[in-house]
Amino acid sequence: MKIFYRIFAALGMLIATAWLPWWIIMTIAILFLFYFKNYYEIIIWGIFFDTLYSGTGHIGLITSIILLFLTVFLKKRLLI
Amino acid sequence: MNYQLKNSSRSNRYKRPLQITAVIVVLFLLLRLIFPNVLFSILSTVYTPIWKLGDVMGVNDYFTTRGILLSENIDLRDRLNAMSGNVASITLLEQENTELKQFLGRRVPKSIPEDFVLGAVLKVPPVSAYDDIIIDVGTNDNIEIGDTVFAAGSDDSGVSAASSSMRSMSTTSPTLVPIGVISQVSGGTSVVQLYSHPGQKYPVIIGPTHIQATAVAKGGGTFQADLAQGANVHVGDIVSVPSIEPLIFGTIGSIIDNPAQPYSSVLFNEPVNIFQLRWVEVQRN
Repeated sequence: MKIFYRIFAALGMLIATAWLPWWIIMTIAILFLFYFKNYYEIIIWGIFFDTLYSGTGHIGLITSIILLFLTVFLKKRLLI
Repeated sequence: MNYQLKNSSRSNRYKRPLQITAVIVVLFLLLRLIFPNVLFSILSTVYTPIWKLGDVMGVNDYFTTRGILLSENIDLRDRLNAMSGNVASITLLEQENTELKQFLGRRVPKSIPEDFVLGAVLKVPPVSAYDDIIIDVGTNDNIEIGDTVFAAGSDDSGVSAASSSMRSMSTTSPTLVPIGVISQVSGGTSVVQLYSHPGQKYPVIIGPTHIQATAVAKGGGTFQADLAQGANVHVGDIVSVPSIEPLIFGTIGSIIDNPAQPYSSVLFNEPVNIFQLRWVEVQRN
């Protein structure tokens, strides 16, 4: 059942990266990071974001990696 | 007797995410190195119908608050009223300029050169985060990296009709305001890096006394140029590209004078609202 939630989350991120401002995309990604265990897809979405909206920038990729590790750190502290 | 734990759980917590992250990043960098444009081509093919659907549904309009729209409406109306009085004299000056050039043997360009391609804007800042816009023309329309992109002269681009003829100064109808260059291209889409992409520098001419300066892009359609203290410039002065065909780069929005510094900082914006662009013209090289 969790896999279907992840698929819907992936579709949601696809729509979000196409339609929504970057700060909403980041908020949704952070929510998914806490909701799902080991949400590595955030790195893929960071790569997609950089590829689509900038040829040379890597802000999306770097931010997604930072958020991922920050979540790993916080989840243990918050006992999630 | 104390037995040390063979594997600390604390270090193991980060090991797996680190490994997976490293694999993904390495694969991405290899893909980018071997096939530079493949990922962009695939993604733009997937996203283009979604962008167009979002455009039809007016999704972007939901993120502009009513207050911002109202104040912008009032501001544009005031500017239109202020500029409309100058239209007749500007038109006369354009005609005189064209006649003088013809008299002196300069080639007068056509109003729309044939090597221009009209493109619809699919994504603008801040949705795109970077100072780039995405348009719906690409290699299928003979667009190449490095082609110059101009804002099309229509009300949809946020440029009022009364001010468009003033800005062009070399043609009587469409507005041609250079806004950026093609930085990435696929079959049906292209990424336009705007001139206001942070860090970019351009030679410009400022004000009625034609002061030469270097404009530094600050992002979001804004630029900064440093001039000597006491330079004869004022808010509202035109900043143009050095060329026989004057192309408007922007108008001075504010001047920062610091007596402790030997220079004044001039801040100016592009005359086109890049956040509301709907159409652009791409000049094929």
